[in-house]
Amino acid sequence: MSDTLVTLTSQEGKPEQVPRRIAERSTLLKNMLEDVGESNQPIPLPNVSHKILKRVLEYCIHHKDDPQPPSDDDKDSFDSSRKRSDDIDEWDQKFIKGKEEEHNEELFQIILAANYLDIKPLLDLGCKTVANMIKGKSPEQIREMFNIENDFTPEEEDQIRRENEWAADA
Amino acid sequence: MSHFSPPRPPLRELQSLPSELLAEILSHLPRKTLFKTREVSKTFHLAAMQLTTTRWIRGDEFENSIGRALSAHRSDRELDTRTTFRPSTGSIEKVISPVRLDWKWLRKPKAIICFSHLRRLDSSERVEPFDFSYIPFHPTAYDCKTEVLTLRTDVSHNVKINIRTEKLSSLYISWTGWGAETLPGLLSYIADEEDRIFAKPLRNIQQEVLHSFSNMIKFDGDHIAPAYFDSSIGGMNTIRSPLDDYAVKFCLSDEGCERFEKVGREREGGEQGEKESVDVPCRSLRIEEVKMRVGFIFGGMKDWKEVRKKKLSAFSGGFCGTTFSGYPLGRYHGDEPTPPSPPPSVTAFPTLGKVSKSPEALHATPRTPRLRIHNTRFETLSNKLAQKSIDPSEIFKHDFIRDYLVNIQRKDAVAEGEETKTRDVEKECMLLVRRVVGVERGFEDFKKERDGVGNGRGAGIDAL
Repeated sequence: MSDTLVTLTSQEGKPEQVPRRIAERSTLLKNMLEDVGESNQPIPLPNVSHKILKRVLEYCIHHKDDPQPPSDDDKDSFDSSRKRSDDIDEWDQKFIKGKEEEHNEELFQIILAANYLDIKPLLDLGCKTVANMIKGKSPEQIREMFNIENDFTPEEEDQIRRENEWAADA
Repeated sequence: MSHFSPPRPPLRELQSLPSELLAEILSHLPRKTLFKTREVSKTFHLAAMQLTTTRWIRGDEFENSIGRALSAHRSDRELDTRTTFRPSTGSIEKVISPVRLDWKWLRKPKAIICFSHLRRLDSSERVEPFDFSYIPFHPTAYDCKTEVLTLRTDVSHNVKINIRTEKLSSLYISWTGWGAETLPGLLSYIADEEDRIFAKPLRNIQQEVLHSFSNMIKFDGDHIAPAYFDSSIGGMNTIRSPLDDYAVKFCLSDEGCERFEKVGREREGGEQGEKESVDVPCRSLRIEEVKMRVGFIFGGMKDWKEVRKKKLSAFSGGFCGTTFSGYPLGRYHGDEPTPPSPPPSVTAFPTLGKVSKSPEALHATPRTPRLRIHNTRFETLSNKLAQKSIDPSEIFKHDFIRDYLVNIQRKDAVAEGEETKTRDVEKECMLLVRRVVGVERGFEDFKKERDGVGNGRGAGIDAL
């Protein structure tokens, strides 16, 4: 059964055939395939563009032999809140970096797709990458980098700044 | 042709990510950086606040944000003249300065947890109240993820918890302290938005709640940082600071508090910082820690009598995922015979917003075949719906989800040898989805819908 091909249809309606084993790296697809059973019907993925779908599948193919990540329920809740972002392996770094000129746009698309398809390791990879971009930056620099408008009133800003005084040397 | 690559476009998409995803990103940041990101924008602020599931907001953080919201609404106009039991004097007094909660800083809470570390009221002696000023933090936090507000409240503060019922699917009161007999005093503050008192002074409460003593610890450990006694650490009791920056360790014996020391913030590399002795005038306290928990479930229920007819297990998953299997709510009213205590194996702690995986809980009441949806699927769907903020009433506008549910139902039906066509699949799915999503409608609505769907076969809230 694992060798059967599954057809995924991207946002644009373009089909992409992958071995079921690869598709099942996505928890969403895995559950769907289990529920639907044997079927030749393509699975529509209206939230994923063809370009991003191919990138996601590239990731899944590379990690096809990885053990499935533990579910959130299996993790110790305390430990799971203390995550690291410096443990990205070399292939993953290159993968997420992608083409320099498309990096930013693609990164968020991949995060959204990983979230939609429920591919935890890929979601983690995307989140860690963005977290690494944030690290060491001041709030002003973060705003500038992400083009974020400061929507606090001066009073609110002052209040939060005071609350954050203990973290001022971060 | 220039060899310089164009500058990277700004990451405009970051702000537009769902707050859960932004929170996921921020969860990879070091603690201090995380807090600093709150200064970026309101979106960041909210996302950072969502990361408090297992990290405590610092006590002063809480005081500054939510606490400020509390105190801001204190006014003479809101003074409550209701009489209440005052543990500090042991007498019946008027409430002096109730504080109304303002939720503007919060997302809607699913539950509120109140802690009270109270002095032990001894018939033979007056013991000074346990002084929180000796504890360098306030065990108080709002957990945006589970939407649980935890208040450390001393009854003498006269905190009035004023909750709009539609915003609240459940209310738990956790109680740790030496003043078990003051619980009725606290409960007398709880009222709904029209000041109808839901929690009347309860009789026989101590004996009842003590049955859940062992579960209390697990509950606290799972859902909020256990900000109180952890006797598993080398014989010392430990109170952890909100961010684990430091801990307060102390030793209790029959003679009272023997040693009390504050362990400073851990330095990088795991070394502990300075130890600072803290003088604690509580030698007269004896080990008589009483942990209590009372659960109430709101959610459009207008009549307590109606609630009392149902066992709490009937609401499992449907309202807040509680697994009070075998706990009739009516027992807490004190006007009915005390029911037998729950079996010790039953997990009596709420798993907010989730369906419990406790085997006992799952089988607490017979499940009807028509609702045999695998819990993993159920939770997957639950997560998806929550992420996408899909309104349950709109659920069948989403073809994918509809097909997903119908397929599951059909599969189960075939497996059970039933004719799919005889089922009202959509309505069943709708009920399931509503249970996953949470309380959207009142109990009566659920019941009506259930009766209309399943010909009395129990397809509704009793099914879990």
